[in-house]
Amino acid sequence: MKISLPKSIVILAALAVPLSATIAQEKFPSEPIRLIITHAAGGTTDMAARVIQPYFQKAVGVPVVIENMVGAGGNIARGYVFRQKPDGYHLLVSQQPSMSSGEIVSGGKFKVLQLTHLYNIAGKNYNCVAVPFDSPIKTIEDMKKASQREPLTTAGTGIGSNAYIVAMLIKERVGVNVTYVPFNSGAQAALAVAGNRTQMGAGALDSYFPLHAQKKLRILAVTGPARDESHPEIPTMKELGYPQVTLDQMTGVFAPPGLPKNRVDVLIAAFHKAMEDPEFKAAAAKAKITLQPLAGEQFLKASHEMYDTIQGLKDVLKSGVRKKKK
Amino acid sequence: MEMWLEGFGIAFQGQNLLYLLLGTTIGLVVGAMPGLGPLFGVGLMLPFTFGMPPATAIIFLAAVHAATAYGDSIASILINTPGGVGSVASCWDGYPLAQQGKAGLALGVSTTSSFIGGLIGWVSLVVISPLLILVALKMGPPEYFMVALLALSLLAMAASGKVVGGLALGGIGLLLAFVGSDPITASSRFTFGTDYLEDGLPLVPVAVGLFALSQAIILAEQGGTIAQIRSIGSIREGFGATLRRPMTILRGSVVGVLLGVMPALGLSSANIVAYLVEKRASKNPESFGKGNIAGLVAPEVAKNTCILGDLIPTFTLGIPGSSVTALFLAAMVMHGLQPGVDFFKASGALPYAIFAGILLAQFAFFLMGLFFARYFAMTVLVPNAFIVPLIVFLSFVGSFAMRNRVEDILVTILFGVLGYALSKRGYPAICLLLGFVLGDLTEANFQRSVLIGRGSYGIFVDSTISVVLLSLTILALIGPYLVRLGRSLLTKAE
Repeated sequence: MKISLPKSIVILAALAVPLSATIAQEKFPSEPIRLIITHAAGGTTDMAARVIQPYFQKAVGVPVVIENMVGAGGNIARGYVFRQKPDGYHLLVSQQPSMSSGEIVSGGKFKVLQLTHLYNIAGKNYNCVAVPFDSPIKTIEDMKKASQREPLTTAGTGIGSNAYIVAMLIKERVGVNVTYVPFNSGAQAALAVAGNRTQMGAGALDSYFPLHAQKKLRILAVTGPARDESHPEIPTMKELGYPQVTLDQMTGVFAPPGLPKNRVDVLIAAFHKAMEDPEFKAAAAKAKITLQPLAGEQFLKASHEMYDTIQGLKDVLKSGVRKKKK
Repeated sequence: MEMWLEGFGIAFQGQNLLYLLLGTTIGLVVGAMPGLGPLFGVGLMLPFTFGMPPATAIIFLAAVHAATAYGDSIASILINTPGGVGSVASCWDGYPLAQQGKAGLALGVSTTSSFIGGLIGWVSLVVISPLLILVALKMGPPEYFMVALLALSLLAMAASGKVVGGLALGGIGLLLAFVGSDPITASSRFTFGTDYLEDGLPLVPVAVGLFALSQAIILAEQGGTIAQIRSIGSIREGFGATLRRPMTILRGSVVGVLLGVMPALGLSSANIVAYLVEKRASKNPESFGKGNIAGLVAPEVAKNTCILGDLIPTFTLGIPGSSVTALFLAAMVMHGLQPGVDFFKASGALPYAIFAGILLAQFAFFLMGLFFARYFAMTVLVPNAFIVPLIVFLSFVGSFAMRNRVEDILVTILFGVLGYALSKRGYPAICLLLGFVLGDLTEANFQRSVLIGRGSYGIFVDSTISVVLLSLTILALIGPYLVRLGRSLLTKAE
């Protein structure tokens, strides 16, 4: 193969690119991009990332590598990306508002609002409130009344998780007294409710729905701002008259603070193109991922709102974390 | 029935068979690596299945799943290094057999037992899963706590003679399990302010250190080869040796299915519990640890029954019993399948094809295992000078690969040295691991029970199941003394 002079200059220049960061700004991206996931393969955060990865890779033009950095409820991955150089090659895939709670409640070493908000992929992954199937509690009002005698035992996942936030919203803003009992997984929490071990439960709709369908427990309401698209028969807390118990949830892509504007634009354009790909839309529908495309500023605005919700609940959420007396 | 035929028809399609063999091969390799078991194998392969047709994807993963669980035992038997947390107990009688020049026999036993375990697990998955689910639903925090206590009572059995040392090590294991976030209050304990310890000490590096790395040091010291006589024995004999022990198979599979079907328990405890149950049931427990075939059959059967039992809540309830089955669930959801009660009704022949594939996966590892066992077994004839660096290398890879953290390798080294010191002194390191594995189950469920019981300990004797479990524990603890007391009274009376 003959290489013309101009072409060889281009090739040499391309080889020289990694040597100098200032030149690298000319062409971005030129190296593989790492998508760092807060949770293990197969989880909701991971699924969103895996489904978009091939389409994002096609749109951005460099290899995109997925890395699951599991630990401390996602705070290990968040802290890691927060510390990286803002070069656009280290991206974080994380959920909100659990990331806010990771910062505010669990004291993670990062600042959510300082992260560069690139693109939100998925959303509307709702939580719900459930009671055992034969429980005398039929409505939220029943729940409130029943809890006046003694607090209702409430199954959920770890302190700071979405299930925990929902339980605390119900406690603080509706006035249901609860004793929160954390389990290792949403599945185990749902089984505890189904087995009549706890008087109620909170957590991801996905964990509770299979047992609801089998009449082992009853889901009273979802806590999203609207009904769930796959299960439209279940009402929202908002419709039942408790708009104060609304917790939206989204999964998006973040970069370290201070990512230069031109790189932000390149990445957002690539995500936008990937999200518009009809093949991607089909793949997402098959995996039951509800898309919620939000770019840059819009994404930050939605994320900011979630952050404020958690900030407002700070004292309540933290009360569960008992610190040892020094 | 028609659906089953159609299902098997799909599973037998050329492409699916090809992926079945590919999955089995990958599974055998991953399984044989120290520390890396089904969780790693399925997790590693999951992303590759997203582009496959649904049946192929699940059959492929099922093959990886079954073969990693089986492959785990190869390293356990041949080099006394658990291939994964599910095959720790397979070392105890498998390795002595290999040392006695019966590596082939031991592999034959392991292959046959794993296969039988897989078949029993499959039948429970298909036939009696609704019944087993009732058991799972009856288990709440107090019952899980009682199961944990019962399992801890096996510590004395695991101590093989060194009862006080074994109990002390079990206690230390429990203490080590308390490192990290409190499961209920999320406050940090013994973390010394580091992020690393927030999640507690990682199971795989601890197990790999205690058993694999320490073993490398011991082998290096010994020199020579693992087999003390230049022989590997007959693989075929293992087949018969297994089948002659129907009661052992029964006990192992009951432990495997029950621990598998309970969402809070699983692979890491099933093999150890099955081994200790078998030892307790045996007429001559002192022969355990010296190459007793029953001591290999029981954990092997339990391990493979357990991994299929683990799938039961996933298919029947749509609720994953463990991290591995959570990956299965993710793969199915990704392909538009929704497990649960209506799984068989909703999706035509596809569910049947998946179950057929799971069954075929058992046959695939069985046949490949028998075929390759001879070559695997040769390992015991290779000089330790070659084996040791390989074990050290693979131990580090295994510890690192789970979470990509360098600190995990340090944990492996630390526990490797500890394991070596313990085994030099004749202390049973397994007691430490048993305590460590059961730590979270014991502690978290104790705290949950007390929360649910509003601070009263009465909750522990509220249900029949927990009372029965508690009685069994008490009986297990004082039983030997009662027997001795009875005997001495009898002799006095005479």
